Order: sequence, then structure tokens, then C-alpha cells
Amino acid sequence: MGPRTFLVETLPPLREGERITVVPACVQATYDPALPAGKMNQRWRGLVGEWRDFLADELEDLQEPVIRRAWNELIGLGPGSTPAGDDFLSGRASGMLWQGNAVPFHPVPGRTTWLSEEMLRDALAGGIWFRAKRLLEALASEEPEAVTKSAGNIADWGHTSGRAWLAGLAEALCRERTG
Amino acid sequence: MPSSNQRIEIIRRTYYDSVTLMLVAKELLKTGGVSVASLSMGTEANYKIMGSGGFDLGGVDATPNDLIIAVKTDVPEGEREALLEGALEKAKEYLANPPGRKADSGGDYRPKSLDGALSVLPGANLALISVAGKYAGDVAMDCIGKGLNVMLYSDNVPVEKEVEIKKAAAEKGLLVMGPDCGTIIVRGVAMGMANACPTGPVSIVAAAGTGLQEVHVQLAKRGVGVLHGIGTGGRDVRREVGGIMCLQAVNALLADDEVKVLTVLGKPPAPEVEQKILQAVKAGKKPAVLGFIGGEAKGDSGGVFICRELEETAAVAAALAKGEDGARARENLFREYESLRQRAETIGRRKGFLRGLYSGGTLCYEGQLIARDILGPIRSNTPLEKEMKLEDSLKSEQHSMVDYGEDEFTQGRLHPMIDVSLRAERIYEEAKDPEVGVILFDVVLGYGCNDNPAAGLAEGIRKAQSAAGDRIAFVASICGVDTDPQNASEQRRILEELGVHVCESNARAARLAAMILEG
Repeated sequence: MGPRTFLVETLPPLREGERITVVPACVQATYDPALPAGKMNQRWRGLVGEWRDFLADELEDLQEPVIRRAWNELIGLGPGSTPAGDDFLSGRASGMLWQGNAVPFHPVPGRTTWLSEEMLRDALAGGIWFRAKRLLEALASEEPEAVTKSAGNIADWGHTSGRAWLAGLAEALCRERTG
Repeated sequence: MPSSNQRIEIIRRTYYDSVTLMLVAKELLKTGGVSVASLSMGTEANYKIMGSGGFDLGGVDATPNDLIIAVKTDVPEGEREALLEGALEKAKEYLANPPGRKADSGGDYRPKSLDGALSVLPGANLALISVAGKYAGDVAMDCIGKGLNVMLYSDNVPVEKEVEIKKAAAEKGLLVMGPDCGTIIVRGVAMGMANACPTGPVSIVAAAGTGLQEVHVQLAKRGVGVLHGIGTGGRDVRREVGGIMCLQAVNALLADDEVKVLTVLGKPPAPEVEQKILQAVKAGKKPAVLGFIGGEAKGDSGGVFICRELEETAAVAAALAKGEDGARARENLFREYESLRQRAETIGRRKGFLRGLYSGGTLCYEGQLIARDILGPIRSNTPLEKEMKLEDSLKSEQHSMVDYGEDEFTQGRLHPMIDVSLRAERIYEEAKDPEVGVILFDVVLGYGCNDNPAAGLAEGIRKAQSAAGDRIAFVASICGVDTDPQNASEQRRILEELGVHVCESNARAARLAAMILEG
């Protein structure tokens, strides 16, 4: 999955303490350590802006801290192995860094799940999922099909993860100048 | 104390679109033991409809913002409680995950806002608006501000708002097609409820409902296609709106060299608006047909034909498009109408009253005009004269025709061209009245309409026939063509197998229905 995590669908029965060796060459990488070049093409501003509405539609718990810009309160907020608050912050971090801005929050150790903490740490270091990178590349282009295809791919990701990530990205790309 | 055979639950301040409500109600009816299922908003009209469906509404205090789920059963008393409880639970489950609706996932992202849509499709110049009427006007203003023509499918838009948005659009040279515009055709491409007819040299300006569909279909039956069909909304030609969009559309089509014959049709405009339209059309020097159903203007002049019925309008326009004599086409048509008397004889005369049950507003209006000339006054919820208004649209009196597409039947409910169940029930109710001799109805086909309306109406017709025997003759018109998704010939076959007398147009069906009762 990420630089230090792997998605393993099945394992043979293991004894406690038994070591597992992973051969990187055999693992399908889904994560890129570098954000794409370029900036958002402003023609997509209307489309990206509507992703903020995911908060009102299905991520109500996130709305209030987002309005107060209390970013650290979002860490660990929501159910799941990657709480929606972390997905939002991850999308926001990628958006801010992609546009060359500093990220105004830092992960607080122990506030969220191990997996989510890893995800946030990677996002703050400029790492990004391939599918999210494809969306940023599309947003730098003039290609509507590339944008709707890659955005659809993320919106369908997890229970709310993809839409929370898109809402965070939208916050970074469409609101950063006001914050 | 016996347990009730009904259960009603109110879900406060909850809104679902009417397609979802129909799908859930249909699904509940598949549950064994559920005899009636209704999901509707708590409007006054829906209270009436539920009351006529046999629900006891005592103590029900839903407002128009509340959803009412109501189920009835005819199972023995001991089984009712569990069945009704189960049906309500099922209704709520279905509302959370509507049956028959595609999941909103698994594909390309589809924009949800106007700005988002314009980002993806910057060349778009037309927006279709279908939201609750009280919000539709503001959405339309937003679209006009962004340079978009508007098809306003929503109804229940206040007339003041309609005037405001039409004035704003006219200033920018844009069209507002609606409100309550169910059909438009742009360069042969149909939007909304429209038929699969060919593209051709005729263009139509209409209120944009079944009047447009009927003329579109009648032209196709004569081998002539339509390039544009511009809907203006039924109120546009009234005094309050002044025909702003009708005139805008007429002028646009007159300036279009691809338009060879212009047709303007609908219910009669306010006299001063009718004059303005007539002047604009005459000034255009293009073959034209005005089909204001029962309008004041009379006599063809200056290349402009004045018609009073829909099939007549189409017949004259088709002749003009083919370079033939429009007046002769009209004469031939009226000769054909005379032969309907012979058909009425063959069917067998009936005694009593005519009851017309329509889904199309203009068709209902035309039906009244034609039947009135043969039978005398016709009562209706949309009468030709105010004094002929039915006190209760759910209770016919003497000769009556009811337009089920009126707002009173569509608030929080599906249009009768999509959900035929109310009319099917009404056909049975009318048949129980011993004074009824003929039941007349329309079957409107096309994209967006019920996928098998004849089958949906068939249950009501069968029950009516078992209640009335041969006392009642059933007469119908089908507004559609074989290339429509429902296939007009197939719909005709279903109705004719039930003994319904199917006609080629609404004008013929209304004549035949009245002639069966004549004398």
C-alpha cells in the first residue's frame, strides 16, 4: 500500500514471532513518493469546488472543525481503519504541497490508527497514491475525460475515504487563499 | 376490537423524488397480502387521493413537507399486524436503497453542480432544470446568468418568477422553455417526454406537453419530420406573461433557414398575445400554421393557416412541407372524421355519460372542445368555461373529462404519463357508475413515459368490464409511433385485445367517444 505498508490478502498460518520477508520486486506498488509537476488548471475550479459539498452530504462530523480550521481536531475523527478526518487531511496536505504551499498541521502521535498515521505522515512528506496522482495530473490538463475518470475512481474508494480525500483536496485548491 | 387493515406512518420533513416513491410503492405491492401501497407527500391533493383509495386518514396530521407511507391489506385479521408492520419496515429499507435505481458509483465522476458541469462541458448552451418548483426559478436565473438556454421541467414555479426569468433571458437572447415543460426537440434531438420521430423541415412552438407530442407524432404518421420543438410552458401566452418566450421562439425559428414550415400551437392565448403572435408569424413570410386549440383567430390569410385542432394542425403543416395544398389536406381530414359515425354505429350506441381520463393537458382540452360540439357541456378540472369546473376532481359529474397531469395530481407524485395507476383505478371507479356509457382515455408514449402504459391500464379496464359488462364502450388514442420505446403497435394490440376501440389521434378518439353517445 504505502511506502512502509503492504496489503496482504491471505497469509499462511504463522507462529508468534515468525518473520515474514517481503520481496519489494514482487509487490505491486500503488504509491508514488513524488507529487506530479504542474498546477491546477483553473477551468476545473467549479468542479473541484463542488467536492467540498461531500462534507455536508455525508461527512457532517467533519464540517464543524473544518469551518473553525481546527485541523488537528480532525485527526482520528470518524470510523474505519483510516478515519474520514485523516482522509480529509491527507487530501488537503497533497493539495497544499502540490500548489507549493506549506501544510498548516502536523500529525499528533497516538491520536489515530497506526495505518492512518502512516498515511498522514506519507502525505505530509509529499507521497501520494497513484490514483490520486492521476487525478492531480488530470487537473493540470485540459482533458475532461481524464478528470471525470480519475475523480470517479477516487470517489468510489472505500466507504467514505475517497470522498473525504476529495473534500480535503478541494479545501486546499479552492479555499487556500482565504485561509 | 378488530385490528385495522391499514397502517400509516408519517416521516417528518423528509423529501424523496417521485420516481423513488413510485418504485417503492410498486415493490411493496409485490409483497403478498399488500393490497394498496401509497408513498406520497402530505399535500391536500394527496390526502384526497388516499381517501378515495380507501384509507382512513383520521388523526393523520402530515404537512406537505412530510412523507406519508400508507399500506392496506386484505389478509385475515390474525395475520394483519405482522404483515403491515413488515410492509412499513420494507418501505423504509427500500427508501434507503431504492429498488430499480442504479447505484451511484462504479464509473466516471458526474458533476453535481452547475459550475462543476460547466467545467467539464464548457461548450454547453442548454440546461435542463428539474428541481422542486420553489427553487427552480433561482436555479434558472443562475443558468441564464451563465449564458445558458433553459428547459424548465419543474412545475409549481410562481408566475411572478416566470416573468422575471423570461425577461432576463429575453434581454440576453436566450430561451426559457417552461416552466412545466415536459418536451423539447432541438435539431431533432428530443429531451424529456418525447417521441422517436424523424427530423425534418417543420418546427414547432408549443406549450410543451402532449400538444407538441401529438403534432410531432401526427407529422411523423404523414412522413414529415421536425427539426425544433420549442416548449414555452402553458402560461407563457397568458396575459400575465405576455407570450415573451413564444414570440422569442417564433422569431428565432423564422430566422432559421433550415425551418421550412413554422407551427405554433397550444391552448388559446390571451387575445392580445394571440394578435402579437399572428403579426410576428405573418411578418416572417414563411409557410406557417397556428394551431391554437379552440382559439379566437379564424380564417387562413397571408400564407398563415389557422387551425383549431392538433391533428388538423399537423395535417396542414405536413401538406405545406410536401408542397401540397394545406386547405385540401384539411378538407380530406374532416371527411375522414365524418366516417367515424359509421364506426360508432358498428361499435353500437351507448346511453349515459362520457368520462374522459387524460394524462395530457392539451389532449384533455381538445377532447372537451370536440365532445362539447357533439354532446353539450363537459365538466372538468380544467374546463373550457369556469362554470364547468368540477367541484371535486375525483368525482365526475355528467359528461366529465379529467386532466391527471394538473398540479393537484402531481404534487409529490409522478406525472400520469409515468405512473398510470391512478387512472387505472379511476377507470374502474367510473365503470361502477351506472350512468356512464363511454370511457375515453389517452395513452402517451415516448422517452421518459411509462414503459408499458397499456398493460398498466389493462388491470383497471378488466375490472371495469367485469363491473359494467357491455354497458360501457372504451375508446382510446395512442400518442406514439412504432419506433418509440413502447412500440405503438404493441400498445394498440394490448388495448384492442381488451376490446378498447383505439383511434389514430386524440381528435378522432374524442369524436368517436362522443358519437357513440350521440342522439
